[in-house]
Amino acid sequence: MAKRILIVDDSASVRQVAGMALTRAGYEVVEAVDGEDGVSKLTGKLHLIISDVNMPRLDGIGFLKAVKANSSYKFTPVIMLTTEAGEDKKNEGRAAGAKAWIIKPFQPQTLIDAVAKLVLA
Amino acid sequence: MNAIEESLPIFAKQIDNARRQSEEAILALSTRFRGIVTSLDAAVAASEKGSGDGGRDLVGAMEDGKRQLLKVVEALEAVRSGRAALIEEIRLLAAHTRELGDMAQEVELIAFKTNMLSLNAAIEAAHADGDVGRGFAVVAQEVRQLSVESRETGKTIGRKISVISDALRHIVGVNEQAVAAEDAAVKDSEMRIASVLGHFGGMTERLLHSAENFRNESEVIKDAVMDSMVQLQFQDRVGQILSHVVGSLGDLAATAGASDDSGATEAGGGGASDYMAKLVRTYTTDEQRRIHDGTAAVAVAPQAAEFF
Amino acid sequence: MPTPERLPAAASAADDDQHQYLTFLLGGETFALGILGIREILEYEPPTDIPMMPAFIRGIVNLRGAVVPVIDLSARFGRGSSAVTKKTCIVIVETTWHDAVQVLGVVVDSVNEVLEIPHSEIEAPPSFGGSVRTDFIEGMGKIRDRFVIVLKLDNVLSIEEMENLTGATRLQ
Repeated sequence: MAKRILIVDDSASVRQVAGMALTRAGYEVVEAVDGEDGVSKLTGKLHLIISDVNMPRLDGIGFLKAVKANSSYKFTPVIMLTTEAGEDKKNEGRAAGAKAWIIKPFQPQTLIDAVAKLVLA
Repeated sequence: MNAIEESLPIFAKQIDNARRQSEEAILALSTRFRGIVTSLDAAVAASEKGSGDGGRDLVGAMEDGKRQLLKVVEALEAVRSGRAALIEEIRLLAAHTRELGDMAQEVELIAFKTNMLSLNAAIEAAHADGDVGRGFAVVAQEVRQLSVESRETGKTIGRKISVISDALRHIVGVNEQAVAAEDAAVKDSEMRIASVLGHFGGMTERLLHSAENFRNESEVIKDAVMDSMVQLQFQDRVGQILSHVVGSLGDLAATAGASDDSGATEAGGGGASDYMAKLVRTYTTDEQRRIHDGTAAVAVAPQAAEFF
Repeated sequence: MPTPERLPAAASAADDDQHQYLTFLLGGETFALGILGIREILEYEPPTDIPMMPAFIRGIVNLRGAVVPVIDLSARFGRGSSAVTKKTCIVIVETTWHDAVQVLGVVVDSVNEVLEIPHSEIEAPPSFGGSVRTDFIEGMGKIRDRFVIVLKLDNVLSIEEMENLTGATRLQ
């Protein structure tokens, strides 16, 4: 059984690149287009969540908080994927419970390595 | 002011349009690239089947085929040597028959001598008196009979042996021809088989080699494609920036409209700097801040992950 | 030399031996010899040559210590010698020579059998023609519808030949 990873990003290109890298690495990928969509996709076993920060409707920080508030998923590791270089946003993410912060554009291998390091067993 | 009021929304729409078109185009491109990588993966996997583990299967199959072909050759050899053994047997039989022939001749010789004996006995009988002579004559007759019979027997055996010898010679001749022909056929088969196996072996080599080449080249292509896809991520940033500009243009239009209403003096100074400050706060990327400040844009390179 | 005009009379009708003859082949023809005149038959052995003898005298053989001259009948009859085969035999015969007994060996191509030829079956020899000198023919014997030449070997050698032979054999 492949491990399931949820990727939340409003950019289709990012979902493409990340999705392909994850699939080739052997993971099952679930996609969501923004924070709200991401919340709706919190079903079944998820071994890891990847989320963008800047998204319409519900942004990444908001989504992160929703995940941590959900008893089924509060221990699921979350990697933030963002154009945000600013320290403020990064600290917000850290405080909200994110496990890693990757700046876009990202090398697929960087993402895969981080996933391998953090994914639930 | 009217021209700006009117044109700003239009600018905004056009920029948004450009953004959306670019987003669609890049998504399409990205999807296509993803398709290429997936296809390459499938092709390499298929090639792996043909070589790699599958290649080992192929080599295994070839070894199997080789073994079976060699078994065929063995079988042919067995038939051939079986025939050779048969010929040997027949030769021995022929030699034995010759011995019998010699014996038959001896029988004839004995018959001859016996005949002599009987004749001499008859002569003695003739010279002897009365009963003795008659007795001798009887013995002589019996012996003569014996010699005649022996001679006949000897002749018969001789004839039979002749027939057998001829038959054996014929069989040997036929078999020797067959063996020679089979020899040639077997050698020919062996040569052909060796040639086929040689080709096969060479093909397998080339197959494995080309599969390896294919894998290597596929990796190179995939790396290039993946690289391109990474670059396409810029669309996200561009999209964000453009959306932001569109939003800002909207704000600007509103601000321009408000300053229009509130009077030229108030709107001019305070409105502009308020707006700019607000603008800065909305920036999400490094480049936006730099451009705002007037510093050179720096190409954004992929960075390492940071763990908390 | 006496030339018989009549067949020899039987000593006694009960004496069957007089009717027994040995038949043999010589130069393709079958001959017969009265068995009483035959001592024995030998397998051929090459006779010891005696030089300066006529061709028909082959030489001498040693028969249990006795010296026996061997003659080639075929040559004697003027036909040339026969080739020696494994069937060639020497027939040891007793002949009369001027009232004396002479033992000779006669080379024949092969011996056949001993059989009876009753007097009645022997006819007078042809008076002319034939391949054999009439001196030596006793008659023509009828055997199973065939005729064989019945030989008489008395005086088959001339006085001169005999004297030469005796002289030569004495020297051996």
